[in-house]
Amino acid sequence: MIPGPERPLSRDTFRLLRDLIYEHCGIYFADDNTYLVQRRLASRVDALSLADFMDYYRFLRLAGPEQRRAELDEIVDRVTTNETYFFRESYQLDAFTQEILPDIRTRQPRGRRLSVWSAGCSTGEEAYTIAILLQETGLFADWDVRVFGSDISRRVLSVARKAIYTRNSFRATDQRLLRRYFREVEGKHQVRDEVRQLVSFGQINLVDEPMAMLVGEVDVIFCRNVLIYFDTASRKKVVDTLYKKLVKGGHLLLGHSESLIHLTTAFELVHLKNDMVYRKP
Amino acid sequence: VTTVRFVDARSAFLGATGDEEVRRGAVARFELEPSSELQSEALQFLIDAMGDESWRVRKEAVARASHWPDRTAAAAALTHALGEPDNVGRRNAAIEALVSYGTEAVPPIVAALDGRPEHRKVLVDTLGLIADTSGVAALPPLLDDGDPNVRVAAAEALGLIGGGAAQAALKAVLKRGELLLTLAALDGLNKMGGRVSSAELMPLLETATLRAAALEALGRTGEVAGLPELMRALVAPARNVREAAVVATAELHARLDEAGQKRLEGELQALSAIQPLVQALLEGTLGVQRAAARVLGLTRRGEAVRPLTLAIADPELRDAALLALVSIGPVGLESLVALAPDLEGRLRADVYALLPRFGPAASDARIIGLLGEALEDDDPEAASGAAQALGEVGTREALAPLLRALERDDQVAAAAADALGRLGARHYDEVRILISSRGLAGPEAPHLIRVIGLCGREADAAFLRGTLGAESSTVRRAAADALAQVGAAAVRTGEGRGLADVGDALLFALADEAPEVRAAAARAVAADPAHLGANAADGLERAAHDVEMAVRSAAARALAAVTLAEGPARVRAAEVLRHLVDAHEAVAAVPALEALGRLGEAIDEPRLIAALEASDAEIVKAAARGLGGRTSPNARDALERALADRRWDVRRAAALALGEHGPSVHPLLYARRTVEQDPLVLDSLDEAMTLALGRARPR
Repeated sequence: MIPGPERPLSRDTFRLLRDLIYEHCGIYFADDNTYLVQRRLASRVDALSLADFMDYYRFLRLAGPEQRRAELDEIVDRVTTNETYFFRESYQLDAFTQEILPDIRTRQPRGRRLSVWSAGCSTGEEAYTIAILLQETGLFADWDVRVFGSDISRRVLSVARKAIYTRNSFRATDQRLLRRYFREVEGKHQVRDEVRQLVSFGQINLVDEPMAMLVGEVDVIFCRNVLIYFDTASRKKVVDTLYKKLVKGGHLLLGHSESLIHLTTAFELVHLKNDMVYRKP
Repeated sequence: VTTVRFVDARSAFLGATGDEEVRRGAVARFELEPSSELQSEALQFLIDAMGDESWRVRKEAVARASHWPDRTAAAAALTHALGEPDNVGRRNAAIEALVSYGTEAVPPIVAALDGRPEHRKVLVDTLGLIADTSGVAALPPLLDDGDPNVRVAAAEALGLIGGGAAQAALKAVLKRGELLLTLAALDGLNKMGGRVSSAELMPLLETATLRAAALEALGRTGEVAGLPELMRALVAPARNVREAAVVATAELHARLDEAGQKRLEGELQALSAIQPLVQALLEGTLGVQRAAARVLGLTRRGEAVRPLTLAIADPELRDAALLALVSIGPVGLESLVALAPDLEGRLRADVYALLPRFGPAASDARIIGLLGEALEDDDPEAASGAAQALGEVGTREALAPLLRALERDDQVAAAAADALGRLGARHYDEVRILISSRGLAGPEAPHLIRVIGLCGREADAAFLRGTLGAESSTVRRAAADALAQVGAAAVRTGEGRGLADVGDALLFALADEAPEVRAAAARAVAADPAHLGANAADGLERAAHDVEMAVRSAAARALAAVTLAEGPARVRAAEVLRHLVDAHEAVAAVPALEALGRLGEAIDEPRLIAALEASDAEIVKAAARGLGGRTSPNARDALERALADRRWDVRRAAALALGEHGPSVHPLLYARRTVEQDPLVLDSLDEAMTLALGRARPR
């Protein structure tokens, strides 16, 4: 591929674009992210035959609503980092399977129904991991079990729905689980139907609270490495939404570098044997 | 448009001999207080205008006279106007106005007849057109009138009015031997469906002029005594006689008891030829053609199959021909099957679709085999017809060929899916096993999901929920549509939990990235709103603000369904609908207004009234419809204002809504009528006035 001309992104234009993206989806880029935005969006300037980033900004401001929305979705696809894999952060998954799930099995807070939300599910590995773990535990064989996976990006949802993954996604997957829950398709691996049947995917912007209301009441929320995309105000909104969707006693699992400090005191921090997680009192 | 004083209108009328539009306008727009001493002059002005050379002016005068406040005075004046022989236009216009009065016009006409005026034939004709039974008593004496035209007119009028007294009077006339009067009496009896015995009719059959009418009456006797005469008439040389006999035969068959029907059918099967019947089928008027189809069916003859099959192509004859083919029975089935391959595609489709109506005989393995082969017919319509038939009469053996037919083009595949769905009602386990073993891969997957939906089993809801996660948006949409079918089935039977257990997944599908899936999910919610949880309204609220119009529309309709159903989300859904009304986007506001209107809560009335001021006409009309059932003074005032809206469709909707407010709105509708110019709105005003007074609309 012939590389396009280098597209300089001035600080002013970066800020204008940043505000536009924030307005659209709540994702916020600090000033030191200029290079990331420039690198990921330069090809759009070329693709739209625009002169420079300022022209791109004007296009986004002046295009018709449908074209504008499509381009903003394209931006979201490009600027969010989607790299993930199956059975990521095993210590947290151990806490989920060994401590949280048995507790739910005992308490039955919603009767014999269990719902888990993978908020910011990216290409689906996390949602399918959860579904596999639910099957593996054998605790919920006669329960009505659902896993909801949501992401703001249509592109990653398309990958998630296909459920076909390359070797990169299995860097932490046990061979037994690979054989049991995946089938080989042209050198790749596809999640078996019995697991896919448990998972629903949807396009949800977590900052858009009414949209997040499309998820019903859930027992556990995985929201790992998602809050990092938002500024403090948006994080508060997102956490507030997650709180509302959790059943009383439900658990919130964040990424290992994330916490609710300075965001909310509504959750209680629970020290499990394998990890620390948040719980709705 | 403004009203004018009566005296000015009359002056304008008289001064505009060359300008029909000015004269019409003068008639349409003059305003007069009901208490004005000029009432009788104004009425006379209208009657004069009824004699105008322009039909538009005459029509306008009739329209105004039809809604004249003092009907008693108007009926008397109009009756008097019937006596003026010099102006046929005026006389006809006066008759039209009197007919619109119905019962109220009868007394002055009857009173006028008492004086035996020269124009009594016109009076009699008018009584007949009014067709009110209160006019009957005045007519029998006129059957002995010295003027033969009056005698005939009286018989005709009695025939139009009908009823026991009229029938008795007409039957008495049949014995008098006066040819034209007898004919009028027979026609009258035929019109009213009066019954005359075979014995009374037999002598009349001998007179050529009376024969057709007498045959028609013979059909209503319900007696077999006239059968030989009917059979002879079916092959008579005179076309009108043959056709009358065809109609009478069909009629008689419908009235006979089982034994009588068998005897009639036996006579028909023994007919020397059915060609005259085929000719009636081809050349008669529609009524004759339909009767001919019926009679051909009763002949039970294989040679009737071809003409009847060809008649299917005529949309007016289609039903009668299909019914007749079925009534031929097994012989017809055999002939149809033999005939089918030579027919053109559309007719083949009809024939295949008809086969199930032959009852158990159509379930014969040979017929099922033929239909199975027809699934591969090159013509998609024919193949679809075969699929439809297999859905009705097919057995387990039909499942495999139908499943294969899912691989054909969309039309055939859709018909095959429908058929499999119907078969699923009888052979559910087999259908499900077949689908499970085949899997949901490939382009047929949406059709297979549709089949599952058509089976309408709650047990499949969980499976369909899983399918909502499929990779293909077409499959996900089919799953949502199928869930709608399952939900609708639960609503129909009133049993089970419907979509209760899949509600969360269904609402989550409103976040699907494909708009067609989101819209289908909203429709599924609407299919079974009572079983969904309290959060359904919140989910739908979000969908009602979707970027795609189709989703917003489906969500608003789903919210309306939730609001009108007994479910936990009902109250919240109504709140959301109120917000949607306030947002003034037609696609969501229209169903919202309609639902709130039907909900009938007082709290919504101000909102409905405010929506009448919206800039979008669709919103305004929906608000008007919603206010139709609300008879408060505020609602009435708002609708009255809408009657003056610059858009004709809004005025029309407002008029119809006001009509529901009862007699109290009649004066304001009438007042509006004097200034309205749009013919459709005028029509609606008339309809509304009729509705307001609780009358059936005059024909």
